[in-house]
Amino acid sequence: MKPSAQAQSDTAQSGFMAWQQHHRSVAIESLVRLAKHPLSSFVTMLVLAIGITLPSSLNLVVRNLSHLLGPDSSTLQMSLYLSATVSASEAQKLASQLQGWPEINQAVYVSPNEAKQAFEQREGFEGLIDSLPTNPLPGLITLSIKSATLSAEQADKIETKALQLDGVANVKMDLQWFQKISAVVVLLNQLAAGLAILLATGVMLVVGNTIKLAIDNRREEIIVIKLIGATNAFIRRPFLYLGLWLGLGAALLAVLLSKISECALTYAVSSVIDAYGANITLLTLGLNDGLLLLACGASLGLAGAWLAANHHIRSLEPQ
Amino acid sequence: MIAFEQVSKCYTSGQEALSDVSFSIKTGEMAFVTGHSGAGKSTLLKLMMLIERPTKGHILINDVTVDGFSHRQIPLLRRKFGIVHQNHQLLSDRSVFDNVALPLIIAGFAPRDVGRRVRGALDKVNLLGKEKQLPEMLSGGEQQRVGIARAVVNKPPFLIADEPTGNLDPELSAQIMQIFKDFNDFGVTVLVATHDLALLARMPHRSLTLREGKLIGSGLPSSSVHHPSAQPRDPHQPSVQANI
Repeated sequence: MKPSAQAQSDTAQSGFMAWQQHHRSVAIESLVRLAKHPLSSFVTMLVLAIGITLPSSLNLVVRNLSHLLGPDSSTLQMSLYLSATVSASEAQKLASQLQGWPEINQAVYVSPNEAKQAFEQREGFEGLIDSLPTNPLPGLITLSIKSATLSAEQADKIETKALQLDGVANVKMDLQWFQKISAVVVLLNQLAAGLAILLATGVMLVVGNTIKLAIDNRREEIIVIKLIGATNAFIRRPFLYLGLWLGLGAALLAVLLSKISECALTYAVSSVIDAYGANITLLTLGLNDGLLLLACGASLGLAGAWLAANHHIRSLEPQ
Repeated sequence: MIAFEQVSKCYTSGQEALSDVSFSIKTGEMAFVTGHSGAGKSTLLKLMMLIERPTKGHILINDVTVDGFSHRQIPLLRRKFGIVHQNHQLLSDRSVFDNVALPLIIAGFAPRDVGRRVRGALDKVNLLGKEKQLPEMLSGGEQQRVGIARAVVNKPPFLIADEPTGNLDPELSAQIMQIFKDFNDFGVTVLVATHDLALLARMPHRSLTLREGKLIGSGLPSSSVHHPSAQPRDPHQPSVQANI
C-alpha cells in the first residue's frame, strides 16, 4: 500500500472510530439524562406503554377468540355422499383424486359397511339397520379442509367443484358457524389495526412533544454548537437516542403490563374453563410477540424523535 | 483570504445594516473591525459565518463564493473559523475540557487525538490546570481564554473575535490581544471586531472602520493623538506563550 493510501485509510478508520465513540457516548448521555428525572421519564414511558399495550392486548384477545372458537381441521369437514352405483374401488380412486386438491388436508373413504358399523355403535341404534332389507347408507368421502387458508367463498367453491365430480350425489358442510366467527374475527382485527394506527400516532406525538421540550431546554447549547460547525445530524443524535430509549422503555413496560393483565385474565378464565371441564389453553404473549413489541416501541420512539428533532433543530439558528 | 465584494445587507425590518462594503483580508493578516455599536460590525461577522446572507454582493472565503452555500455546506464553512464571543458562549454544564473538545468532536477527531489537542490548546492559554472545572468557577478573563482555546483547538485558518475584550479590564484585554497576536504570528488570519480604540492604537494592524453601515476607512490605526486614552504597550505585561 502506498504511504498516502495508508494514511488515508488510517484517517478513515480513525474517523469511523470517532463516529462510533460519539454514538456510544451520546447513547449513554441520553440515558443518563432520562435517569436524572426518573419520575417524569417513568410517567412519559407509562403513557407510551398504555398506548402500546391497548392494541397489542386487543390483538391477543382476537387471536384467542379465533383460536378458541374458530374452526380447526377436525371441525371443518365436508362430507361427499356418493351415489349407490359407485363401487368401492371407484370411490377409493375418487378419494385419492380429492387428496390431490390443494385445499384438502385429508380425504377418507367410508364404505357403506363402515358407515353402518359406525352408526350401530351409537346407543339405541344397535340392530336397527339389520332390520332393514338393505343397507340404506351411501358410501361417503369425508374431507378435512385446510382451515387456515379458508374463506367462505373458497368453501363455496370447493363445494361446487366437488358436486361436479362423477359419482358425488350430495355435499354437506356446516359453514354458518364458521362464517359468523370469521366475520367477527375480521371485524375485531380491523378494529385492532385501526386502534394500533391511532395509538401509534399518539405514541409518536407524545415522544415528539417530549423531544421538543428537551430541545427547548438545550436551545442555547444547540445554537452554540451550530456556530462551531455542528451539522444537523450531529445535533439530532442525542435526541434520537432519547426517543429510542423512551420507546424501548415504554415497550418493556408494555410487555410487563400485558403479562400482568394476562395473569389476571388467565386466572379469571381458568375458573370458567374448570366449571365447563373443557381442556382449553389460552394463547399468551410469547417471546416473539415480546420482541415485536420492543421493536415497535423502539421504532415508534425513534420515528417520533426524528420528526420532532428534524423540525425543531432546523428552526434553531444562531442570531 | 476573506473578501467582501460590494456587500449590502438589508434586514426584513428595512434597516440597512451594511451598504456597499468591499474589502479583502489576506491570508495570515491580522485586522480589526471598528465602529460604534450599530455601525454594522456584528452584521459583517454574521455574514462571514453565514448566520446572515447578504442582500447584495458576494463574500469569498479562500476564493470560494460562499454566500450561496446550502444549509448542508454551512457547517463545514463554519469549521474553518474559530470564533471568540464577547459573552464566551461556553456550555455551563460541561467542564472546561469538554467545552474545548466540542469542535474536535463535531469534526470527528479520533478520541486519542482529542485529549492531546485539547491539552495543547489549554496550554496555549495557560489554563492547563483547570480542565476539570466548570466555566462558572472561572473568572471572566479565564472564561474568555477557554473560549479562545475552543476557537483554536482544531487549528482553523481563521480566527474571528466579536468584542472579545468587552467585559474585561485593560490589563486582561491586553493579554487576550496578545494571545490573538501570537496566533497570527503562526499564520492564522485574525479578524477582531472591537470598539476599544485604546486597544487598537497599540496594535500596528489594519482596521476597517464602519459608520452607519458604510466602510469609511481601512488603514492603519490613526496615531494616539486622536485617542488620548491610548497607552503605550507595557513591556511587563504578561505574554502568553504560543506554540502552534
